[in-house]
Amino acid sequence: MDDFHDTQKKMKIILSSSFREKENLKVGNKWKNETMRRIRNLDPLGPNQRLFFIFEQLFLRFSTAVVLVLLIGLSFMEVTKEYEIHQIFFEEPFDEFLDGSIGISI
Amino acid sequence: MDRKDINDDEMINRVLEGEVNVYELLMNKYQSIVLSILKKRLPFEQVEEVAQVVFIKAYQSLPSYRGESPFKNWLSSIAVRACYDFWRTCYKKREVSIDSISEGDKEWLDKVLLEQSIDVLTKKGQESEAKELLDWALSKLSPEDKMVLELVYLEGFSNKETSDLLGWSVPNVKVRSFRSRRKLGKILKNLYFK
Repeated sequence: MDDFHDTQKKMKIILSSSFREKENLKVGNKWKNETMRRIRNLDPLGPNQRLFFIFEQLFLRFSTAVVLVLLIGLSFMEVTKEYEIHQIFFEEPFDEFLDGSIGISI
Repeated sequence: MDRKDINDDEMINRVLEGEVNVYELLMNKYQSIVLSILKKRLPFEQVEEVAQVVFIKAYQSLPSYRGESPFKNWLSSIAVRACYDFWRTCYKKREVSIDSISEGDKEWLDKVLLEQSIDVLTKKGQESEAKELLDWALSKLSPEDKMVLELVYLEGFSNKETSDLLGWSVPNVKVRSFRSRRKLGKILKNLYFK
């Protein structure tokens, strides 16, 4: 068991050293020019963007709650037989509806 | 004003006001940190492409930066998550796994494991065989396990720091960290106790 733990410790030293060693690889500078070229082609940032992000964050934060409220609301909604939508989907066959009401024959 | 005198907040505000060229100063200042993160985690030929993705993403997300943590940490987090996204894409395409390591690498490992000195082991870790061994072992892990293992086990980040970088909860990082170390242990055990 000690042998196993000793080996594990050695492996950690070797792997960590190998991982850190990758940092020394040299990268050129071309990517920087290309990045700035791509950024200049984007729309410039402005104060409105910050407001948009704040709105987006709020929207994302509350979207689950909004969906839940909508679902609860829908569950309380009463779909009566008088509604045309009910007739279309539940009483009349769909192809007959298309043929009769809109004039598309299937 | 000397460019070096401009602090991060001022540079960020000027970029947000539409001075795109000031972003280049930010990029020059932090490129070494981003490249360091990418070089350790990605295949070398992918580093430049992902570096572009990181800085473009940071630029587009700049309006959401609220200065709660230093810009360096915020940018590092984007870089780490870009690496995670890269590996997730590879994993979905099944382009990750390296089937086996060569007999030469196995023999190299058998010899190295006889060493007792930390300095010698550290030096051996800089050899190409160690890199192949590391890449092979990491290729056996899922992107989630790989990311956590690199941050916690290989770099020594705390669970909290890792959770901030990856945007995961601390308990999630703890569980992942434990499991990924156990998986790595099994992978390596099969190698040196065969």
